[in-house]
Amino acid sequence: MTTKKNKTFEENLKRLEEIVVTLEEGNIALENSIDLFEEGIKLTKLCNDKLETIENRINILIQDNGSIKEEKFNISGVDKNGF
Amino acid sequence: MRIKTFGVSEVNEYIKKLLSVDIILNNLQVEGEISNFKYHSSGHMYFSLKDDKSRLRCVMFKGQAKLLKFIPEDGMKVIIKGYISLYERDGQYQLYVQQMQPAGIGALYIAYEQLKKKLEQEGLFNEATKKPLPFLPQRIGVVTSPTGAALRDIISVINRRNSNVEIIIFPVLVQGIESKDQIAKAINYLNSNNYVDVIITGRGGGSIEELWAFNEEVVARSIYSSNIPIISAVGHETDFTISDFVADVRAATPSAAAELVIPSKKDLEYTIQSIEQRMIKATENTFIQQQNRIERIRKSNVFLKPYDQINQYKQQLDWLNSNLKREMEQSFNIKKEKYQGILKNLFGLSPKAVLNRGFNILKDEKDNFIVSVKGLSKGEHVNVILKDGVIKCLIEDVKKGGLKNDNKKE
Repeated sequence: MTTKKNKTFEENLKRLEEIVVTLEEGNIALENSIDLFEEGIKLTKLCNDKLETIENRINILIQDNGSIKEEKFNISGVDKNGF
Repeated sequence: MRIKTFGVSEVNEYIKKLLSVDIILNNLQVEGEISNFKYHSSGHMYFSLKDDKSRLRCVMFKGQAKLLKFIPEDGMKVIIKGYISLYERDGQYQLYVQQMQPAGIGALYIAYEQLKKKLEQEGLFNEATKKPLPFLPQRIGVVTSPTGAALRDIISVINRRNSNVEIIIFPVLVQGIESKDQIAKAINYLNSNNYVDVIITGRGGGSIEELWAFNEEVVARSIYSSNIPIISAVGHETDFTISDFVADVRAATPSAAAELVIPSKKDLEYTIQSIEQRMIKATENTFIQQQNRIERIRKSNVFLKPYDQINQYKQQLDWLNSNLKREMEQSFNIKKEKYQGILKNLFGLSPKAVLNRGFNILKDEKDNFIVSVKGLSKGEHVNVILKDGVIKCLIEDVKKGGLKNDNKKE
């Protein structure tokens, strides 16, 4: 596995901010700016994808004969007058 | 009358019996100040209760003592429920304490203050040991009542902000005697297998008794020892529990905890989008700038009118050339005039011009100029050159001097 793939969303977002600042300062060679731009576009895609990858699931842990297992949680069961 | 003699223990036994049948002494409520408090390793508590005039020996056995929410201290004003009985071995009567309440402020309040002080001294509230929350958690653990409004609020806020996340609920009681152990166990369980990225634990608002589980030491210690960052969300804004102090982040309410636990997806998308746009714009600008540079160079005169400079030089050369010619002519003319002037003067000086004015030139036969009488003698021929001819003459006589004298005479 490459280290690049292991970067967190936050790290990628930070890198993106660095890239945009560097590009905006404009004190770089055209070739470098193209490389940075390509890296940035890849990162935005990576970040956007990451936002979608995790599926919304709400599970509840149930104790069953000493072992604990996950079950789908039924939100409608929440008591509005509860604490 | 004969008096019966008793043994010591018989007397004490008798007194004990008397005390035990007294209605008042059997169910007593006493207020006083604690002094000489000793918490024995056996779990029993021994102390005196005093007012400004006298004191009363007290004992509280382990069974009752362990139910106390607070630890009694010397100087503490308390209200005690219990009964008076005799400790037969010492012949001492004492108050057997069954319940103890701090006078004035509540027992829970004191317990809260005591635990807070203790844990603070141990460093459980240190900012330095607090863990940062993950920026974008994938699994959020929620330790709370499965039927509470707190859970409903947390789920709805999380789903509104960012539904791309898993929520794992660890159901616990959040009030009552079992709640503290359930909460602590839930936190420990989630830690034992790194089940989630972040934990929210809490409940909705309530009285201090209802919130009490979150003031329990076992809960505080489970939060402190958690490797997973924990957000404490107990009650309302004004409720501060021990859990709030130990937790990595305190949220004012369960809804607030949900706001803190995950960034809004819309905000993130907007951030990414605006970065993308800035990036495109900045790169475009770089291109435009470079293009402008090329354009500027391309439009410069060197490229646009490459012969312009040459023509200019040519023109300048022509101008210089004609200048030079004129200057040369002028200079020549001046010199010519000057020469002619000199020539004129020179003509004035010519012997021929002198001849015109009546002077003659005398030459010998070999055509040498004769300027002196020296070397001349009688019988020699000389030529006298006039303006328009030559006279051949024969010298008759030669005299030295004379002309000077003649001049003087005149």
